[in-house]
Amino acid sequence: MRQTYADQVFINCPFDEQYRPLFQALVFVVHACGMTARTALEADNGAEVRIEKIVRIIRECCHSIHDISRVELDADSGLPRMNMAFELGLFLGAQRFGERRQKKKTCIIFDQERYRYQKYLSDIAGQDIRAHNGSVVELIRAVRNALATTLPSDVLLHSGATMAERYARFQRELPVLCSMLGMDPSDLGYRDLASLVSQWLEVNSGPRLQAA
Amino acid sequence: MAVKKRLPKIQPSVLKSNLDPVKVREALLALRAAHEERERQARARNR
Repeated sequence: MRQTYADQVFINCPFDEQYRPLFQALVFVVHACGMTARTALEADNGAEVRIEKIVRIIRECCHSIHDISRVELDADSGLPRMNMAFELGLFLGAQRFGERRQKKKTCIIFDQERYRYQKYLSDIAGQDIRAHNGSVVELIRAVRNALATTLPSDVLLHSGATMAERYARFQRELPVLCSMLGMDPSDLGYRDLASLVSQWLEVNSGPRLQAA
Repeated sequence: MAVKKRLPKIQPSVLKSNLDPVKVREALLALRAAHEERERQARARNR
């Protein structure tokens, strides 16, 4: 199937264990909106320089979700993590200076609390920064509502609450599914996760949406 | 005139997964059947 620029959503967020439920929720809600989640995790090609990979993915994505909530100092190094803010800057730069197609880019920016970013990234003041408060339900609802504004008006979507319920069911079924497939759910690579999310949604989509 | 609504088309992942799509689908269908059976039983209990 041909996938278009308008269907691709760049996800810029932490990839650690603690963030995993939120990360998986992001992948789930993007696919549930009929789009494709793209992340820096998708290619592990040692020959491709990391920044080139990120730039390539950003170029291919019309939409993006940035979670800049992870600003605390790293316990081991005592240094802050800059990657998320850097990649947000790259995306905004592409939108600002890129060719015509790049100017159509949209972004959803999250922080833990709504106005906290003003203390550490005040250059983005004026952007609509959303808070997820660490809640999967709030994250799903906010992403669903933001992506809905980019879809044609004839596309039906589940409500944010229903998507969150479906994600909870996906989370409950994921360990069983992995067990049936001989996989370890705690060591699921991004490609496999995206594939499972996409196929789960396909198998569990259909007329139930009308009743939701 | 009423606009005909449509469901979003779920996009297959653009990435090549190493999972067998046939086995994944079979497993998902089995899970869905189990879920629907649990829902049916819950409805019967609440009736």
